[in-house]
Amino acid sequence: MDRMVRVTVNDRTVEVPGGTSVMDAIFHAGYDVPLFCAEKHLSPIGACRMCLVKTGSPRKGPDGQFILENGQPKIFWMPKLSAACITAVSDGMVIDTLSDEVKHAQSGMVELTLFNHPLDCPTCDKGGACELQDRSYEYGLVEKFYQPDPMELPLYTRFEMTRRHVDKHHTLSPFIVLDRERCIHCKRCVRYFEEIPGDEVLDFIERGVHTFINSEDDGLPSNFTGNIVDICPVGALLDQTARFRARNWEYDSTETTSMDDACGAAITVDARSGLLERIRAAERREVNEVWISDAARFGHQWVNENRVCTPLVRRDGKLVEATWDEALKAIRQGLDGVAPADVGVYLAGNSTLEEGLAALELTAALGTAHRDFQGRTAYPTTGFAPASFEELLDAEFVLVLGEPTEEAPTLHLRLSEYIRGLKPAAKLNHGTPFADLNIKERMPRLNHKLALFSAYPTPTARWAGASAVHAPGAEAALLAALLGEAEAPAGLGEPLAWVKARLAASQRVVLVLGAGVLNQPEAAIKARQLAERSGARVMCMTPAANARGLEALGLFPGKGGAGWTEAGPRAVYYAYLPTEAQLKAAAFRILHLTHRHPLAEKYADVVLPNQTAYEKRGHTLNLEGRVLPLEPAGINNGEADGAVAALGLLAEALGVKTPVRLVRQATRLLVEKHKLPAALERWLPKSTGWTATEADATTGTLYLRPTMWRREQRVGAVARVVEIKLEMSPATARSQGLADGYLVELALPEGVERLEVKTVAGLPDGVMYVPALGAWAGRRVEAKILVGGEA
Amino acid sequence: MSGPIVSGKDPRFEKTLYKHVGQPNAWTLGYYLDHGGYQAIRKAIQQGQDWVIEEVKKSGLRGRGGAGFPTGLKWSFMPKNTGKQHYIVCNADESEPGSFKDRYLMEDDPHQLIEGMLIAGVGIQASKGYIYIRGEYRRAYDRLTSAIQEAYAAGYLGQNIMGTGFSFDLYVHRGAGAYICGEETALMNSLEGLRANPRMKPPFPAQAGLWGMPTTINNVESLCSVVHITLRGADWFASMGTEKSKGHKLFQVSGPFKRPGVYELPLGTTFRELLFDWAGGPTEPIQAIIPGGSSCPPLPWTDEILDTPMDYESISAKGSLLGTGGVIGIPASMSMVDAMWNVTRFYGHESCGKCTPCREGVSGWMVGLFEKIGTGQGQKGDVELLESLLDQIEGRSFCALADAACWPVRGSLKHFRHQFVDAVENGKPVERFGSRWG
Amino acid sequence: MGFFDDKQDWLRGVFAQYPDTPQGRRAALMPMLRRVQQDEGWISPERQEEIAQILGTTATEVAGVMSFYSYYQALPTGKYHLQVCATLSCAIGGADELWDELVQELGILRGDVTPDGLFSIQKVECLGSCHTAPVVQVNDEPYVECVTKARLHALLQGLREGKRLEEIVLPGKVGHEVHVRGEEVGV
Repeated sequence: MDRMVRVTVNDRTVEVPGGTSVMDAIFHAGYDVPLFCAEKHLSPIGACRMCLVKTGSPRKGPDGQFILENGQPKIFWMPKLSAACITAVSDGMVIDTLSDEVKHAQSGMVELTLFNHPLDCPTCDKGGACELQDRSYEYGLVEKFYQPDPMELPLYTRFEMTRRHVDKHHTLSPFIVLDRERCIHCKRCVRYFEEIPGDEVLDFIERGVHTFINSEDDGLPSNFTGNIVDICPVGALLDQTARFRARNWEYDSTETTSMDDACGAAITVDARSGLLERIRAAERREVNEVWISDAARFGHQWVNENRVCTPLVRRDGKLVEATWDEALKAIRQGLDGVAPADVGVYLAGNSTLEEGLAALELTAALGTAHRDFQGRTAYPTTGFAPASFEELLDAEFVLVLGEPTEEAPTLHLRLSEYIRGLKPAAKLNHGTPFADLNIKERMPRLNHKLALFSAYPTPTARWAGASAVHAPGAEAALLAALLGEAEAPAGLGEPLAWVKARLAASQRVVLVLGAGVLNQPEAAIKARQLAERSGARVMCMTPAANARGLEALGLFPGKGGAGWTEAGPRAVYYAYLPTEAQLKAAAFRILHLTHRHPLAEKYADVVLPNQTAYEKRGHTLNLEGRVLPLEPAGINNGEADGAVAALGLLAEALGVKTPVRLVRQATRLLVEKHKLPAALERWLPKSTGWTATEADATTGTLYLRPTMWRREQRVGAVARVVEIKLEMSPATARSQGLADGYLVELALPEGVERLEVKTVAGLPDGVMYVPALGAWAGRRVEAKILVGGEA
Repeated sequence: MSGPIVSGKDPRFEKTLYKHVGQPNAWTLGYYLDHGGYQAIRKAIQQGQDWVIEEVKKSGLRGRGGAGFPTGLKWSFMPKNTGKQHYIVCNADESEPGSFKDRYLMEDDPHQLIEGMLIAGVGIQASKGYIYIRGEYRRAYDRLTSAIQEAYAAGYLGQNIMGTGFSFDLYVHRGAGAYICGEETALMNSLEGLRANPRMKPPFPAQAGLWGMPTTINNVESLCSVVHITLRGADWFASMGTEKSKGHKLFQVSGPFKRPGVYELPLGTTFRELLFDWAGGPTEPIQAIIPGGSSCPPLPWTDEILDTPMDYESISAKGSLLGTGGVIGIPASMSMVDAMWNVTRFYGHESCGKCTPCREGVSGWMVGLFEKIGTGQGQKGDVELLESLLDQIEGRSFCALADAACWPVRGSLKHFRHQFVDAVENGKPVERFGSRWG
Repeated sequence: MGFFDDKQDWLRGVFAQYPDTPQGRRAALMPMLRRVQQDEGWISPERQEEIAQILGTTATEVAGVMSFYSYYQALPTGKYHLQVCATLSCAIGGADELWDELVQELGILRGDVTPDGLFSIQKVECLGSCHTAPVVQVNDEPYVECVTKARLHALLQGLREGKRLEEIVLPGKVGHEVHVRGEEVGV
């Protein structure tokens, strides 16, 4: 901790750590200062000049004593006003934010900022949530300086010339539209891309008053573009998926947790008239700070469409709408004669702990071993001692086996912080600093602190001191080499030797494991040995968002039970859409779905309306083992209810009693019986003792590579962005008789997909890649090409 | 004569910086060695770092790039024995309108600059130097690079220079047309291959400059002066100039004078001596002079101003600045509005766009307002608006470029306000100047 | 084929001037842009992309830097790109009229190239030769100084005849040698 210094802001004296910016000292003291360019977690640059304040400090004379004036240290005021964001406090500093001189400067700066800003607030999506609007009202009223008669209308700007006319509708990507006239050149977005994801896809072009932002890289190739919409202080960068959907004050906003990956980023879900219209990042210092991935932000358009709003029961071969009571009757009938031990319960990977508990209690009561959750990896993630993000920042060395940008996007952003040598931000009275002087533009990346190996090229690798793309399935050999049990696989000798040396020399090590490792028990066991040997903590990038929580509760198949990838029980409850083979194999099928689907129409006996993760109340556990809350947003989903209610119905139909019938009951039980701590605390129950129950999931020549996107998200703008192609090296394509642009039909676990072939130089030979888009990520299957030919 | 030397006509005054400028083959190593070249660096290495810094401090040399910060003091800010790579960077991005002194130093006496860089290298423990030269100076670039090659071949650059154990590598980096690169932190960004936005200070370049390493940036003339200070001693240098403005300086004259050009004179020489005795006097009536490059407030063409000594303090007292010593004469037949329109357009064009007051205020509003007044669209109150705009910009921008844009306009409004008022009231476009071109 | 494919030695020489780090490598950006500009007269999007690849950065970053500096051209220029200084001393020396003459004589504006591909024109800011105003720079060559009407036409004529700049004899004595001898120059 830096030494504390005392500073006086107007009439209040406060203590802040040395090195704090004047801006944060002002906020800490409870005063306000206007700003546009400063932003949490970004480097302060002093560009917008809104935060000009007057500062003065005492000085020491030649005798080493403070120069006094009337018995007090004399304050020497700086000749010019200082930008509060880039000025560090010093002991005894006096800061004035209220004098006429300061107000004159600030109001003048508002006027200059408005000089080229269009007056189109009534049609601007940012209206009502615009920093420029707010600051203009608070700091721009300048009657004192420019308005001789106080009865005149308020004067914010005297400018009567033509404003700059430039591109007002510049589409940067299907997600983001740029209005160049509105841009006030705060540089937040440009700095963001360089500093946070490290994708330099946006920059200023030209200079002076002609400066504008632009990208020469088509469609902003980054998984983290949407955050620039949140941080844009004006309506220059806008969310296309929410464009013109509502005024800001009309939204029904709910802060909850993103279930798009296992990191558990905080999001704000904005609904209007029962429709989910927009998702923004919310602040959660421990986890995502203020950033989220594009999948978590833009992948919501599917939620409003084609929902199952009432139970459906099969009558005369067709699914028809029904009441929950009628559904209960249909289930009771369907389960008649089915042995309780022959009922299978399968939850989605993003189920809450409450739902997991309900499933566990029910299957226990039934005495069935058929229980699981979708996306559970072949080796348990609970087998590893989890690292927290704070421990990650503190690590000396991090070894990644996987693709953080796709498997756990938030982790990529935290690695970005780690690789720049940053520590967790200070916590002041107002929270996170707005101008953290420890953060600078273009900080050198400390490459010696990171190594990365993945089965597919990944952007995180650019920060690694050693990295390589290996064939899927090579993880075990790679780890064996690191353990000294085997020679390094061909071509990996040098990087692995470097990693070994770094592991040996480092005290605090964090291991990051992707689905490729976790789905390969042999590799996962070696990873565990490596973690134990190097004292490393582990972050598991599981395909299921709540994998750690559901596993911790014990939601995996009992002895002889069928796992989520297998078929088995006679009667099944699926809280997601399983494979056709699994549906076929069962005699009675209850599908608990949010959306209608042809497979459900064909096979379901009863369909219950489900809630999306945005509509649930409950808790989840992220990859750190941190308890995170889910709050239901105001989305109209008809009679939909979660798995707790659905399983309650099942229990009633089967005539068993379970202690969990309501979500609140489940929460209470979790707290009382399972000692679940409060939200944001970490829950690290003992390993359940379960080890790999599944055969090696990684054989076959088709690798289902992890992506942050899920299948159901592919509607609207997402469909235009997410490219799904069958990728392979040029040599592999030749050996298969394929070439770029060929169309093939491919049998995937979740159905047949018609895909275009794309060759990618540098991919390992002999293997094909297809985006997994969900629970099957990191697994390999046999490539079954049904038909193919030139496009 | 006794007392300090404050006139180029003082018999004790001798040209040093420009002594060889214009001489045939002055840019070759042979010529330089024949005229006592590379003796100063030998002395500097023998005497050592502390002596060099002390001598430069004692000489009173102030940065000749325009800001006038004491060079020795700047060097003393550099940390010692850090084990890090230190850099000396020569700011040869001479872009201030009215300034063209450094160009001839590099074209005709490149070895003098190389030697100055070497001495600075001793002074700040730098083993690498960059000369950031403005991209348009083609001849200077050619002469510098060939001089550097000669110096390497002869052992004046590279490892173990002249067997002294001192090593120094020198590179030339060309700019590409951006005035802001004259600002030292913007220059560093440009050298690193980035957009030339100025960086925040602290950290100062001496703490974390080029690629995060301790760095000092000096003007060409300053570095060349160091050669002679080293050789002849601080006292020789301090014998010229006034009490607070020591030494000699390269003054430049442009505009309608008989002999515009560069004149090496002691600080404290009067404008009259420069403009009449050396530059031959005006060829047509002059109404104003800009004393030190376009960023300095213009002063009226009066006896009082002409008799003002050209040193930092005296010009300051008259409400302007010594700057780079580039004197521009503005003829009486040119409207001051037109002249300031041109200057404002220059700064507007060169604004990097980083901070609001410069981007919107200078590059946008001031340029727009001058265009409005200059094309006869001016309205009542526009002059007052311009004045209040200067208040809003000056002292509030990120770097000094916006200030540099405000000062000449403010100076013009102080001395020639009536021309602005007339332009607004006449409602006629200001007459374009230069109709006598042919 | 890439522009730099056959310039690997040159490229190595440029990289050798700067530290061997990712940041140091980036410093080669301006020399590379200049090289393309000199050889091809402009820097096409393909060249920007190529430079980005070599330096391990993005095309956006290259465009950001390129557009900041006035020397690099985003549009093709003529064989002779005439840059006319328009700042104060040159304006006093008649730069505006010189520009008008050039526009009239060549029939082009900024961004155009004469149909014969020979000329393009650009107003630039202070070139640092205020005492020999007005000044014109052709491509990356040393300045043409004290450009009177007669000298301008002689210059254009010489360039049209395919002469190299230093071969063209311009009427009147000006520039470097005059300054040194202290003879009359300028307006």
